[in-house]
Amino acid sequence: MENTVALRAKALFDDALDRLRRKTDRMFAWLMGIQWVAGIAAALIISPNTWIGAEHKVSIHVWAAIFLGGVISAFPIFLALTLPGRPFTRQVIAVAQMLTSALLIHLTGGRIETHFHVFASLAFLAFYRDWKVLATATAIVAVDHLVRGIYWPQSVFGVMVSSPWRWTEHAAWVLFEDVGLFISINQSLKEMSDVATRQAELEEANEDLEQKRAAEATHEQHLQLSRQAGMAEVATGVLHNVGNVLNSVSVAATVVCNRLRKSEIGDVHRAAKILLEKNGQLGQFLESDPRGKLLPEFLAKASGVLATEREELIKEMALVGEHIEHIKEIVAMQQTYAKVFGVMEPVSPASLVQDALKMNLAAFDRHGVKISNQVGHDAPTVMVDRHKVLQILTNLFRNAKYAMDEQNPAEKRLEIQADKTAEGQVAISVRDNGVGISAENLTRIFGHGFTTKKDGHGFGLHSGALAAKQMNGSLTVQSDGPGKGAVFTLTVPTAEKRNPAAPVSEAA
Amino acid sequence: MKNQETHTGAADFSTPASNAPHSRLYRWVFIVAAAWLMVVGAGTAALIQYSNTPGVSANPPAVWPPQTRLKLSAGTPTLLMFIHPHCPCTHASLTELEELLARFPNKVATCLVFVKPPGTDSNWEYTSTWRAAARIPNVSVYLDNGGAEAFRFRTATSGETLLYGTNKKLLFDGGITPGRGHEGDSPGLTALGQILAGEQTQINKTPVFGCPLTGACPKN
Repeated sequence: MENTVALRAKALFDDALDRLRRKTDRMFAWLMGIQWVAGIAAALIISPNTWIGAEHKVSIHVWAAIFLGGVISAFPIFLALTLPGRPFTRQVIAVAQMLTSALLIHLTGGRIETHFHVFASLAFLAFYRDWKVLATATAIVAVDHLVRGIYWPQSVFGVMVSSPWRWTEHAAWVLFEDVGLFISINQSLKEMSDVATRQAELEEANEDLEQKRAAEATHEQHLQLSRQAGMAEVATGVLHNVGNVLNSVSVAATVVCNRLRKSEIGDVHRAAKILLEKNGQLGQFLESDPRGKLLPEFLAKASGVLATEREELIKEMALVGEHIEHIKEIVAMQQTYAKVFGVMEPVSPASLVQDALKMNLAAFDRHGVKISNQVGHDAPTVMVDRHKVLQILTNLFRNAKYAMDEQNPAEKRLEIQADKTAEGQVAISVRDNGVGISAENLTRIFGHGFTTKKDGHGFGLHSGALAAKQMNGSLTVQSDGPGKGAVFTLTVPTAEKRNPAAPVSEAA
Repeated sequence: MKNQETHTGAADFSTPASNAPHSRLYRWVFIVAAAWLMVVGAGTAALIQYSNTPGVSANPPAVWPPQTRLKLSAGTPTLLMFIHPHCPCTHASLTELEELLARFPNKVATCLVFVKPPGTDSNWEYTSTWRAAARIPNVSVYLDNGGAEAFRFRTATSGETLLYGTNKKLLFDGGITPGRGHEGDSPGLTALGQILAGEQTQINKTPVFGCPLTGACPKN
């Protein structure tokens, strides 16, 4: 990480320095042009002509300003425009700038004021933030003074015979300024480096932030998918149970229908018809007709059969009513859980387990699962999202049912219990005697997409674990191996622990 | 990173052999740079040589000539500077003279002789040099119409400075600038200062830098 920042900081620093040097090159291109024009103007004003008595001609200073000044300026301008940012370009500019100083000093008659051009030029050259440029410029000044001191001493030192080392005095003044500029350059470079480092760190932080945001978005997406999967799971459970109950209703309806079809009511109807036909001769018919003699006994038997039939049908219809009531309860429960989705509230573990069991009771009955619910109302109240807990428990129950179907033990047994943990949480465990879990799968079972069921999608336990974590709890598994059943434990915080302020306020 | 090549390839001139186009580029740039340095060096040297080439030296009379219309001071040495009104280099001579006179007030009688060659228009002599001369305090300006006095004092170059003592003897002749149109300390200025200060000097003749006064050579 630090290495990445350092590399990025170096790249930013190099880029900034390159841009600065290119910009300085462009500045000098303009400056060179301006100096050239200024030199010509100075020559035209100060010494336009050379006179010989009454005759005159254009001064050599004017030609020097035009041509020598032009040559001095042209090459660095060309380099600044075509090869900006190169070390070579700024070295040539440094040489040219010092030569321009010499020319301007010459054109202005050696005025002491024009010598300031040398020092101003050094300051401008310092814009490059390259000490080598200043070194070159200083060397040009030194060489100029050395050569002129040897060949034309009066032109530079004002005396015909100067000390051979006097040029060092002049160069020393330039060096004096150089020292200050070197310090300034170093400080500027350090500041640029600091800025680049800060920028690199900021970029890194932004990148981390973006990655974190992307991870959060992915996490949220997973949660949403898990939530949807959980809801689908609960809905499937609800439909499954409703289907089971409806099946019972259907069986009851068929029984009622068959009983009605076989009912003795038809014979009673025929007896009633005969009695109507014999109206007026009814006494004779009952006394003398062989059919009439049997009719009272027949009616007595038929009424007994019909009474029995009625009792059975009432019983059957009561059962249908119970089934329909069960369906209503399941649907109502589902609606209740759907309404409280996302709300953390204190809930009794016993009611949670009972509700979850109710929604799956029909399936357990059909699969012959014996339930042992040991979660009593004395279990501590937990602070949970009841919908999530319902999702988790429904998923655990269904998994247990499948596991037991697969193992098919002599007695399918599902045990549910709730215990308070050492950390002050409540652990709701669901134990089955199903197919069990191998050791290698114990670590993978909560992974996204992991499933051992043929038609499973691997969302259930993954979303359950996520949901438990969201509630500051956990979902764990323990199994002694294949064929030895499994225990899934949902651990959730108690309502007391979620509200630590309460004891404080009580104490106050 | 943007333009990596700028940071590395151009950082030194030892371009890799595989980078042939850059190698050729730098070779050409070096050749052009060398040629440029030579041309600029030669031009600068020629300019310096020109600026340091003195004009024709005067051969003034060793004693104040009696025919001159110029007046010799009785109480102080008399300084004469012969000036071409249009010579640009003489501005430097006037600047140095002004500084000298400031250092030695009332120690010398100074006369600036503006030489007007024959055949020039009226008012030809009233130039910026004339105005600069007129502004110097305690200095008299004399118009040498036709160049008779220049001829009499056998001077040929603008800026030629002569110093005669009260005893009419020539004490110094030469220029007081270090080069053509250049200000600054010069052997002539130093010598004049020493003479006016009453000190001994080893130098009483120096080269003079300026335009020819009339184009005619001074006679011996």
